[in-house]
Amino acid sequence: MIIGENLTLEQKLEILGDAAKYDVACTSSGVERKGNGHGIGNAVKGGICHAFAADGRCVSLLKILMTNECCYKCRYCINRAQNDVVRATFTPEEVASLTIEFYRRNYIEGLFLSSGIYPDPEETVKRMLEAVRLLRVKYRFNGYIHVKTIPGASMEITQEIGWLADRMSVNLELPTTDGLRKLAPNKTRETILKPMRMIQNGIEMDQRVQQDQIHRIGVSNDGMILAGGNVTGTPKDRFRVRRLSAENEGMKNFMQQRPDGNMGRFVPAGQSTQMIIGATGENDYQIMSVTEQLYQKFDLKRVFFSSFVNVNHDSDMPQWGGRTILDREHRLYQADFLLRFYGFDVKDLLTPERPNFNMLLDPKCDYALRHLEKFPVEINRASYQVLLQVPGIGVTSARRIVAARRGGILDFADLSRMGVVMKRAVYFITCKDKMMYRINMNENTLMSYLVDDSSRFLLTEEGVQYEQLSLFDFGMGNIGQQVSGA
Amino acid sequence: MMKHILYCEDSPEGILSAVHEAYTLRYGHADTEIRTEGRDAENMELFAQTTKVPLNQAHAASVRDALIRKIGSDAYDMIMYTALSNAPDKADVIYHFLVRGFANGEKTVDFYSDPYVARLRTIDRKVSRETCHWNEFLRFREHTAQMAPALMLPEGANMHTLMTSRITPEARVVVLIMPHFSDRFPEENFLIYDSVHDEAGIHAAGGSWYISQQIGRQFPEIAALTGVAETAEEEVERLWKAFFDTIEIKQRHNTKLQQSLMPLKFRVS
Repeated sequence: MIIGENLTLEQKLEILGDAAKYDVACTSSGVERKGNGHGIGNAVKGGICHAFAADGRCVSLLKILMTNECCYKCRYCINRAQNDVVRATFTPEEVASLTIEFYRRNYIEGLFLSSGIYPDPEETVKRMLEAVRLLRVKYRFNGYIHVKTIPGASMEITQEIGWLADRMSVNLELPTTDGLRKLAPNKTRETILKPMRMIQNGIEMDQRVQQDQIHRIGVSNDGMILAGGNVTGTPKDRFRVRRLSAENEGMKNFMQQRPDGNMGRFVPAGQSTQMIIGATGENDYQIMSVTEQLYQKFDLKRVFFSSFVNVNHDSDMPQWGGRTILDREHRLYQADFLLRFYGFDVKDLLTPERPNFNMLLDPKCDYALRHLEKFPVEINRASYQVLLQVPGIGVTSARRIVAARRGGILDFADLSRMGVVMKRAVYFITCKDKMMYRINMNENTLMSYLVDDSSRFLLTEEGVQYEQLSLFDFGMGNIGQQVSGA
Repeated sequence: MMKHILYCEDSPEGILSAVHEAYTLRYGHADTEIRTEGRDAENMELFAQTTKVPLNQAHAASVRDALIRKIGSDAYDMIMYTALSNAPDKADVIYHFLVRGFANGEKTVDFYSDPYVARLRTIDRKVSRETCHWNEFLRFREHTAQMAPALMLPEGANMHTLMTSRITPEARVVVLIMPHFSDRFPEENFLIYDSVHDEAGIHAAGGSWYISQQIGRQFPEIAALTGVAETAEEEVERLWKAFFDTIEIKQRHNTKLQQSLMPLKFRVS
């Protein structure tokens, strides 16, 4: 092991920034917090990107490791114990003052702090806690802080960080237990899910206290949390309180650890996680199913996907996948948005028989083509939920359509002004019961319109059924098949 | 019909004064146009009668109050953003939007099919987007030089450091971004200088903020200072660049994506 001695701050920043860059769960969104008139900082709900790196990824937070020394041997990680890389460690004061100096100049929205695990999880988290506490207490920093949870650390210390951080995340690393066993021998599903559950419960508890549903929390001798005082919750709520306590030892201390003052919220921006994709053989259906479960069972705010980069030149693992893996990652994110904002379920998008996304069409177009019986929809009548299913119509434009209908009947010309992407939407909508063009509503024909020219050659390579276009397909004949009205 | 053109001062109050005048003159809305001064002023039009409308705070205020009451505060915000833009037709768009708004009330903002409403929304969106971009991409530099006297900061203000930023926006966004930075940096002295419109937002530590016009003309030394990095500042900038360069994942290099997300015009030296 090479220990870097007498490294300058700049050298440390290079080493520990470089070591943290593969973590993609680094947005600054999820919490709206005005400045309190003292100290420094606030937080904006939508997050703020302050720069874009040369790979086009947003730079929002000072994303660094506390140290890149590590006793774990994860095969995908450049900092694993057996690697000969220069090791560096920040002091908590260095982390705090770097954050403040960058923040004052509007370079960043806050801090993203992760760490190699050294000498053990508990000690690692202690140092991270110290840095975060310096920021919040000494520097009175009111901006965004995201702290990586270290699997294996005690619930108590993890929880203490939760009272200071805006967001926490624990990386699932790989979508399946098999993958995890193979690539991250020191981590287990259990050590990953345990803190995830604890943070989830903490957030739920904190929110319920915020909503004033539970006014006083008492703890009985056997560790059960009792709701006392003016309980306004339903019997189901009370049951949930008991469930929380049964699942979690650490819950006993939860409310007692709550600090006073403005910052007294527990992980207000929620938690996120990331999965490495393309390192092991999971298909898109497996990845999306895990994602859906994480949203449903752990109330995660975001699940991120990180294309595998073979930093250790491991011959047993795939090499950098280039455009292919980036396109796949893009499809996963598109589907992720469909789950979170558009009311789709994974089963609408993929099945065990059709387990991977269509590389030629985005998941929403793909869905529409397989459900042509639902289209076209009439813009002036369709409900918000139905509008959301139309390719080319997003959350904003659907909302605008619903609002604008109050002012009059909409026509195609109005839609593009409202942000509808007409080159996709035009095949799936009518205005005043008429389609914009005569279109043969046939899967193959529409497919050929929707796939853009640059990727059309792929049609044959990928083995997707492809028909030579004829004049009839452009609606210049065959009037009998013309579709109008919904 | 004779066309009537009203010229007004290029400011929110100036435009609203002209709207008030248009209602008073009763030439008929369809035959009346409002333009801001300075825009093709010499470009005479045949068969048009031109009138100069001086700024009148009372008139502007009465239009503003009626607008908020009848069309709503969303519409008011959209009009203020539009009035700060550099769109050549903004005054006329605001005028004709108001004509529709006073007739139809709060739902007017949703009349996407109306060309004036659509245009107002387009300009408003452009200015909002530019405001967000400056919130994101504006950078401060720290100065230790003594500038307290010229800055009109309150007596006793802690002057050992001043953060400055120079921006080159298309719209007059300073007034729109100052609330964000004042909330974020309550204990900093800072100055944001818009060198295009020669105006600055100034915030004193522990105090409030104000807008100062024609800083470049009145205090050229301050305007010049906003572009300069002192030695200690270069150190911090070097640290940032080291971090910025290292966080790229080389395999994912994508200059096109970077530049579409962060246009080069925001990269001030």
